[in-house]
Amino acid sequence: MKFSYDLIKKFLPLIKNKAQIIEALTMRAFEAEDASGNTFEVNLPPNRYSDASSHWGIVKELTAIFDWLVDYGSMKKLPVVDFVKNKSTARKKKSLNIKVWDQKLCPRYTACYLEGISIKDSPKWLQDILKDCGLRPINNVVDVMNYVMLEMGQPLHAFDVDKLEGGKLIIRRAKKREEMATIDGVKYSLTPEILVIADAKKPVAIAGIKGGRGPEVSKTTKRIIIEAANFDSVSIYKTSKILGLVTDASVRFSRLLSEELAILGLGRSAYLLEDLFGAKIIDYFDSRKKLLPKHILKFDINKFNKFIGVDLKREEAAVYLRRLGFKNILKDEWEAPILRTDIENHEDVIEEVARLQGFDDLKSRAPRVNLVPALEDDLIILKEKARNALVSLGADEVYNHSFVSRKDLDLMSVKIGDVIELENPISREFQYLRSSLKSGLIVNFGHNSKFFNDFKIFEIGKVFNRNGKRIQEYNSLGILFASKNKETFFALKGVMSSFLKSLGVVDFIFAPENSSKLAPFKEGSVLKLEVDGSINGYLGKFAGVSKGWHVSILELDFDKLLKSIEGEAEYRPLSKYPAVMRDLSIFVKKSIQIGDVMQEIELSNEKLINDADLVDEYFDSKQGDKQSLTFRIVFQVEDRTLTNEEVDREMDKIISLLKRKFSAQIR
Amino acid sequence: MDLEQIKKSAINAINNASTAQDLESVNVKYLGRKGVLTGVLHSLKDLSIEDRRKIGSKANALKQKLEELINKKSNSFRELSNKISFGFDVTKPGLKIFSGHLHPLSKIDAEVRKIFLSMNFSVVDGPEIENEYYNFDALNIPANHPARDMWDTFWLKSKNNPFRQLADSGQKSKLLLRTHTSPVQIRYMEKHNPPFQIIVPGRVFRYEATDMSHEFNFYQVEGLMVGSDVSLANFKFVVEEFCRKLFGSKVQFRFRPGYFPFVEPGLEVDIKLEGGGWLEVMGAGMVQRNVFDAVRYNPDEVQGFAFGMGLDRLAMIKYKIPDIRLFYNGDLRFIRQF
Repeated sequence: MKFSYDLIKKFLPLIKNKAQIIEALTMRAFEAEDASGNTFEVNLPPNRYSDASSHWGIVKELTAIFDWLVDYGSMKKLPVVDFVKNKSTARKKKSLNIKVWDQKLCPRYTACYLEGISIKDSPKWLQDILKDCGLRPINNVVDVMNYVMLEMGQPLHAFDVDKLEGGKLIIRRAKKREEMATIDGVKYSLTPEILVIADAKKPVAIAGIKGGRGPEVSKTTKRIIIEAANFDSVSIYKTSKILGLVTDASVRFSRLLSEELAILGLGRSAYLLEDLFGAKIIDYFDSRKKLLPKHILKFDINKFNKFIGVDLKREEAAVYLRRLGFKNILKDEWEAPILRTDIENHEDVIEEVARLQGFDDLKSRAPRVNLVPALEDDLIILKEKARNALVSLGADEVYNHSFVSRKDLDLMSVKIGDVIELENPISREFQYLRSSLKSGLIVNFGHNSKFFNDFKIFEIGKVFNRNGKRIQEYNSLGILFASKNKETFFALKGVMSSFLKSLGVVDFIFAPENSSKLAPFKEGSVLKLEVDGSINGYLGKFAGVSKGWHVSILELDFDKLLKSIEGEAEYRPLSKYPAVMRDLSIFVKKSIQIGDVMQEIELSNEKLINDADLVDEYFDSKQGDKQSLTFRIVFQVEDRTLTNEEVDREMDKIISLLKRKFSAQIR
Repeated sequence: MDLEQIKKSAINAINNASTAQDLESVNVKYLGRKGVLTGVLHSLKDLSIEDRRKIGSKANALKQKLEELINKKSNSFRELSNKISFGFDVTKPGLKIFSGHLHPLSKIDAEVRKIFLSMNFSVVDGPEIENEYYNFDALNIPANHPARDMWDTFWLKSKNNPFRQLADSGQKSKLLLRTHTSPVQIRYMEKHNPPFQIIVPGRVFRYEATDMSHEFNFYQVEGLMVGSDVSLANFKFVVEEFCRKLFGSKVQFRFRPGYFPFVEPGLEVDIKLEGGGWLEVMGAGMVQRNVFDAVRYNPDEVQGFAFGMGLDRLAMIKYKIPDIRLFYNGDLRFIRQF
């Protein structure tokens, strides 16, 4: 919100410069910053509009901060017509006909009837202040309405009495299918949720938001009604959203203004019209018959000290409260200033004292902490472990957006019904919540392939999908290995095995996945990762890459992995007896899968065989459809040295097994 | 000893010399001032002219020969020692062993967690899809209140699907992407009793256009400490400790009033590093009584503070990163700097 430095200075000549105001407000009240020319900007919190969204309000705040004694009651620099005190003098004629039909949405409606209006330009000083604050001068009546809003914070509206049907105003809800054009000519369809100001026939203003076309002040206007009302903040907020219409007035009214502000604004605007332009006050109206209740709160200095962590004396706190306009009623009882709609409970009062004293000056104190050891969620620990493990295995970590496009989903062959769509996406590029990390990693591959020939990337992040009515959100781990001219599939497979072992996952296997539809993978180049006997993810070669590139991707359900982690590694005695290594070279048909052969070897005698590895493979057209494989088999037992004869016997068994199962030929 | 014997034993000695020192002693023995061959040459003056010529020329030839051999051997020793000190060129570059790089946000996240763990704060996680109740209502941000406008929200599409969830209040609550990590405060307090102190790192979402300092997804760290006497002065202590550990002991602070509906008093914290200006890093305050009411704590018996800060922003300040968008584009030229 913009403020005119000149106007503040007029009220508060002690002020030295803008910087002084900005520093004081920022450190003791709310954020303020310099703006161009004669103005500064205040970032007013929504709960301070009632008392501080005006030059007068800022002046009060500054006097409290600087402890400059200003008598709040008298408002010497802001003379008003005091309708409440001088009821008889103000009401010369009964000429106002105003009915409030909906008191809930309009807790207070005040109005003043003036004659002898002559429309002209307002004086330059007034126009300048409007301009400084971003408003356009229009004519003297409208300008006074706007000026008083800036000065006191109450939005006002003026109607041309002669253009009001039946000369009366009714505050009511709009009828079904009622319409109204605002001053700027835009037509709005209204609903019964919306409060309007109507004359005898039709709405003439959307209450608290904008005036209607017709009875607005024009060059020929002679007699006016000034409206200074209070409207239900929630209703104004909703109406403003429904109509998509945000105005100075709607912003203010939706932030809970005090009902008192209405009569103050009315008195001030009447005074200015009379004083500056010779208008005559004929009549006034106020829907509130009783005074507003006083808001009295207790302030407990002990609670304050415990809450803030200081040792302030009761009298010191009292000084701060007085500076803010609080009145001491009884010992610990204080009456809040009438415009402070934000002061509702003890903490509100505590905040006032604490902030005026200054948070910056508050001495920090070490808290007393119970000696319960701090913990981290298992998942957070596992994520960190996984990141560090993957980094040590040579992969770089990336973060991608949580949103994907329809195109990204199509690439994965994901059905729209299985993903979650945003109601208000930023753009179509970011319309859905990602159900996989792959599309992000593939985009990263495309970008980085311009700069690197060989890289490994991974991401750990939330993915989302939906299964009928159930929404699922879980952490996923995606890894992509890319290389120009070099196969990456087995590197990824090997790295993942080391990785899973390093996390403490023991029971896992990679098994061929023959399902043909596992986009974005190349058919026949996919492995499923089974952990504890259930599928946890897939590893495959990415089908859509440019020539020469080998891109392999693995994605797994990270949350599920957590459940498969076996606690601590456990010591096994080191064998005192030597291991015996034997190599075995065979020819088998190309269609035989190496994994099957290895498994057969390993299971042939689990007691004696410690490990089996593929150490060589080749494929030669001279051998027809056969491949040559060399396995290295490690025999070892814990309680004795194996004899050559024993190992020879085992080798014979394996050979005959492989001959039988795979028609293997020994090389 | 005649010349033949000298020749034989000298050549033998030269051949047997295995170090430069050995060779030098051979040199001294035969060719030194008091050396064997030198003695022969000195004794020439006592001989007849004929013998002098005969033996002299032989002795001189031998001297020349031995000098030659010793030189040659000495050179070979020098080469050998050169080889030992220079042939193995230690200045060659080391082998490049490639290790990957953590994302800078993971690095800062780990650092933040470490600092708070050292102050006995536990680390807690929460969901990214939230409902209106946890994200707003329970945090004293009622519907149809302008305070809600402070958080531009991504809503999940609710047309003919059940994107409403039963909130604890028993009311159906619309689903959204959490706009802050604060809902985890509520979730945690519903299940635990004070005293406790926690932090909650995590991804949050805001419906806003991206630019150098805004992203529609980013990271926050939430903090919450509740007990019977946890005060605002305690908050200052914790935050100052944290910032000093993260940014170094020379960091300066500014604590000023701020407004967030779920805290009161509300504060904002600015920091200043050497040579820089004030930077906003944190919103904070004492937990508002309505928030305690929502989790059925008695606000007259417990009190505490909460704070929230942008992890991206901390990383940008710490690593001098000018543009938040760099975090989310996966460019390895960026990632590999950390």
